[in-house]
Amino acid sequence: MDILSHLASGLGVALIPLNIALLLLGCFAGTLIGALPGLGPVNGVVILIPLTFAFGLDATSSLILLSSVYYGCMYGGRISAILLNIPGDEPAMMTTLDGYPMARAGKASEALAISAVASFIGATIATTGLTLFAPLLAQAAIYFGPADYFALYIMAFATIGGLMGVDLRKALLSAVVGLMIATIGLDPSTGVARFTLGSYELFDGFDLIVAMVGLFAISEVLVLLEHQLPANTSGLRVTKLLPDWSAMRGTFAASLRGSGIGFVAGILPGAGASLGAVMSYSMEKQYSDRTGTFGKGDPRGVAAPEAGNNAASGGALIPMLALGVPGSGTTAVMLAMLVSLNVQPGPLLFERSPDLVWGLVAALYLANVALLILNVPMIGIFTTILRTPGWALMPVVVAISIVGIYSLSRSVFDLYALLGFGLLGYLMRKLDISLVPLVLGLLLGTDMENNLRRALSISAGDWSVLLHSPISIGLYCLTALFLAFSIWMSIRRNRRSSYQPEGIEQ
Amino acid sequence: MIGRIFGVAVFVIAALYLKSALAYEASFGDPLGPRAFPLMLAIPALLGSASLVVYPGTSEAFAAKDRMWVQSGAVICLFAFVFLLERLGFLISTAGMVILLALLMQARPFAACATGVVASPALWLLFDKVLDLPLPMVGDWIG
Repeated sequence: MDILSHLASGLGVALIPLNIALLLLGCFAGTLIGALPGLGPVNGVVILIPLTFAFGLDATSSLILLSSVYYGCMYGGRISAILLNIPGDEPAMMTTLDGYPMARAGKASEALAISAVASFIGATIATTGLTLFAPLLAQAAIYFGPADYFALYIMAFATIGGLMGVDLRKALLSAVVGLMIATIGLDPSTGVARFTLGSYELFDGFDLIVAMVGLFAISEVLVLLEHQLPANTSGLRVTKLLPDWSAMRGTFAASLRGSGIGFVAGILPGAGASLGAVMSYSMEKQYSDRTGTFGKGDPRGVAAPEAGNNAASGGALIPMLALGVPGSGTTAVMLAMLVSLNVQPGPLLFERSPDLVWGLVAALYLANVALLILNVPMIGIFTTILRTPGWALMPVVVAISIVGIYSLSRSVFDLYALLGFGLLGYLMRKLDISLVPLVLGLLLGTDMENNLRRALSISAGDWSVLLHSPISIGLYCLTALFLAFSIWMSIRRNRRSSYQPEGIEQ
Repeated sequence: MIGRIFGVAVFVIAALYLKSALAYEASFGDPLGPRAFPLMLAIPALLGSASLVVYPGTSEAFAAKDRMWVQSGAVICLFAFVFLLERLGFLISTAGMVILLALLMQARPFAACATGVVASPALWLLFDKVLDLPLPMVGDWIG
């Protein structure tokens, strides 16, 4: 068993005391970040990146820390969803539907325990899937030439917008703008300064991390300020320490179903954890809501979306590790960190850095166990910390994000760029333009251009090289199918919504 | 309306981008050169932004007017922080920013000041001493 021996050596990497410490720190911080309304997995990962550089961590340790945060957020989001009816992050939205009614019926600790176990099941199934499928995908991807990569990137951009069910034009425009920003700076193969407006500070282009902290963390502050912060956190009290385990018995099947759906949703580009949760909840509702208990505190309605969003986050790591193409904002940020540490993501990652890949996979299994322990017997810690008022927490988080950036580059220019990206991010969110394609464009832009130019160098300028290999033709066909499907979906949706009284169109 | 303005802005930027991309030439290197890829981007950007001007699609409601003042206050506060970071030094500017942001988030004045006064030196210690990332404690205007 090849995989088992890889896993064993990965376990050796993950069990280094430093990595164990980072893993526990990441799980704890992740659960907390996920639980805090307004801070989601992207923000959590983004804020911690400057800290990983500051600690001088190598790529493996950094990735273990960030992935633990990512997994932790998926656990944490449910805490405030259940106790306060406020999803701690976007994927926890569906958990409020049945979690909060359960809490109001005095079953808060049951709901928390059920959702923690469901999260564990979902994440474990997804991690197992990652262990089995990611190496296969990476092996296939080794045969990719430059033209095939170009086709793969095209597919990533075309699909990321379509599946999110938003305006396809906006998603594609967002991706193109991201790619345009990525071309700013010195052209790597000829040294021509492009779009630098005569400013030497732009010769290196915009730093990926600066752009992402701005787009996600700074814009989130502006979103938070749209409403008064919820002052009443008195719901955050769990009276019973140990849950009534009998309530859990009926939820295992729901968790398993949710995990399967979430896992598939996670692998698909652009779908991510939120869609995983939505799909698992609605499928579970269709499948097992016989007596109309869903939405009124059905334990299965808590288990399914929680298993779904955790499984999706594990699934999202597959394209990220095996192809170097992230399927969500959070995985894009993690890849950006790898690029900043001079690790080239892509299918060769499995061959060149087996320690990194398998260390991470082993760490994910350990993180899951740690998270289960943190989230069942030690749940009280989080509900206590969550009573910290938002006005004390958010300004400090903002200060950490900005100072973290400054401490890396010591450049005030980067800070202005950070705020600029924050405003851009806020504006785009208000206009229903997803940020994920933009981030993907920023991240993949250089690689996409390099592969195109490499392909055309090989063919001495003949464009038909892009359609020479069966792999690229297959990828373009898939892209066309995806596009046709999403256009069909949006036409169907438009037809349905035209019966509704009024949209929010301007 | 904002959607249309955004579309116009992206269109203008994409047009300028196209114009400067046309000027890039290199007679060496690869057959494609530094110009082709930007051109491939500028054209869909022009088309996409033009379609946003004609049909802006859905957008979310902006915040109520009183909240917009709060948001603008926060943005000004952040830009002022960046402007003052190297001039007044980390301690004063961070404390000021945390206090102002906390006040904008409806903290009571005393609580806001306490947060800023505690958080700023604590963060300085964390970054400068624990993580060994030197920060300007006092700025050019003072030191």
